[in-house]
Amino acid sequence: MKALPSIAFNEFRGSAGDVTARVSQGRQVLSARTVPAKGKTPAQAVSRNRLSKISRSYKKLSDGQMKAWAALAEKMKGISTFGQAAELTPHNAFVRINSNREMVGKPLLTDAPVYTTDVPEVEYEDFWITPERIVFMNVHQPSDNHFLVVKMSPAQSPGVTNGWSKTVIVAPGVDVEYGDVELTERYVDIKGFELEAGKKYFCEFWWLDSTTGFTGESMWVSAICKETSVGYDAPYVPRAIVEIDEMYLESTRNYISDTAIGFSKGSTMVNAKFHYEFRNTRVNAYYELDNVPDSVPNCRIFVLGRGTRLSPRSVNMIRVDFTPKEEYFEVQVCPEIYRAEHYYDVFDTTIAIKK
Amino acid sequence: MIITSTGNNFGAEPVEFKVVLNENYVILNGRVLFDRKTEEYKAADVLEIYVPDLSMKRSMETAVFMNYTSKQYDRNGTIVRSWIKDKNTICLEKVEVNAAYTDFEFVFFCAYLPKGQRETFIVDGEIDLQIENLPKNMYCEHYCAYVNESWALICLGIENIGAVDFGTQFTLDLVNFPKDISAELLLSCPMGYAQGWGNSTLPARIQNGQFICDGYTELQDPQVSCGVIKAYIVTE
Repeated sequence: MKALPSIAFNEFRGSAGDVTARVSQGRQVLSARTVPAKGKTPAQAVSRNRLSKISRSYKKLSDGQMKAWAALAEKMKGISTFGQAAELTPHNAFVRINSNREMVGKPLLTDAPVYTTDVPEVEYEDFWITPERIVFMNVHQPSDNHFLVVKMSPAQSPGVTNGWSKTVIVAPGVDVEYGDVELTERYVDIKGFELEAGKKYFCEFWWLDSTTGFTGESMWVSAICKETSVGYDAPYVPRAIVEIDEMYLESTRNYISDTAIGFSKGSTMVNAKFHYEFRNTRVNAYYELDNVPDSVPNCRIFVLGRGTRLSPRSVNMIRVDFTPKEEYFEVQVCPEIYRAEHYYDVFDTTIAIKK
Repeated sequence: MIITSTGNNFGAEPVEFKVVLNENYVILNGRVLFDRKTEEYKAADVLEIYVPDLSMKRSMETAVFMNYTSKQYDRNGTIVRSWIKDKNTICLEKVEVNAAYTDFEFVFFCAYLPKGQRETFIVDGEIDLQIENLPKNMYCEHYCAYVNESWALICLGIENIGAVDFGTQFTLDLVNFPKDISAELLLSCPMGYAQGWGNSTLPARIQNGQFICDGYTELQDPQVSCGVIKAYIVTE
């Protein structure tokens, strides 16, 4: 860039040495020149490539399509922090809408969508940030096309009052599953951030309408990581699910894994998923579990399992008994009719009955 | 109520389902004949049936029976995973079996549930089912049943089916099971020795408070010794 000989002149723009000059709102602004960190993070590379691709697609639009995006941009002009309408070019509107849609796996929209302001705020019953989980409970999802976008910061000291600039997107469009939004895995496993008791976390979230690309108003919450909820200071109530990653009983050589047995309303209906093996003739297995939710009842279920090894595709009925004991919760598993197959995948629904 | 499928991705004909639609569960009864040789079936990774709006947009997996015929062993079957993918799509796992098998059908007597909920659960509603008048030497020690105004569930594990000869129909009395509930079902019989063709499948029905099985065929004779039945029956 060719520098003017003196920065005393107006309209001095560009960088010289360690100084960068620009004109903003009719005023000359000088600032220290920033040097970008060398290289891009993989996430930055993906994001910038995505935006470049969308941006280049704008040039391929017809005149009529561009006019429609111009009309939309005019309607979409937001209000800036200082109350002045922010500029929004048709190109910006096109990139913004399509990058939102792309976040949730939707294809490029070449025709401008109809403008709507009615993407609502996020309504939910409560919110936990505990050392074990990040969960929104009873989220009211406006429609199946609305996805939640969540930004969160890494752990901050409790004294930090403004960590909003440190938030990054942890959930670029999450579907609400059975009323909950669970972010633990995304935050911990994907982002590599830790959940630390006593630390403060900054969260920003909003709805994204995947059909139009429009977003709703952002909600801002900062919270200290603790065992009780952000809204009502209530302990977390887990779903009534018995979960076992894997357990092997040495004495009887019985093995169970990938277990999720959940209880639902409807005269107590049960959905069961697990893999079960009895590696000798002892078919019964008694598993002693900790941390089973109090809501899991004392009951019995019969479910169907499919053979996986000795008689693949065979089907048998398997009984599972749930018994709360004083110091643990006992789960007994037993294929009721002894057959050649000893290895079963269970995926079934049933009702809970009294033993 | 009855709904008719609006399409599918594996070349099957439209199918009518008897359904119970509740915000906490969906119960389906129906049968879908299909041909594994269609291009659509071969192209599909997951089989999908499209239906009018269901009462839930997603479910956990449940079991649907898949039956087929072989020249060697007559009617056989297994179970496949099924789940509700969205309000209008029921998915089925694609399970491969021997290429020589024919006459495939999916048999739905199943319920779809959401993930476990946050509730206080009361275990109640089971009827006091008793099994009586079994054929000599046949026995049934594992059973239960539940009935409400819209649907019923019955589970039976019957042993020593070989106590009757092949081709012989047999009957059990389902004491306390409502006599006005009837359904065409199937008895699924796991075999006693290791093999890979699934269970023998015997036609059966419930009517007038009885479980009636048409018996096993001569081809099934060496294999059948016990049978299980677990079926949600839509009654409204």
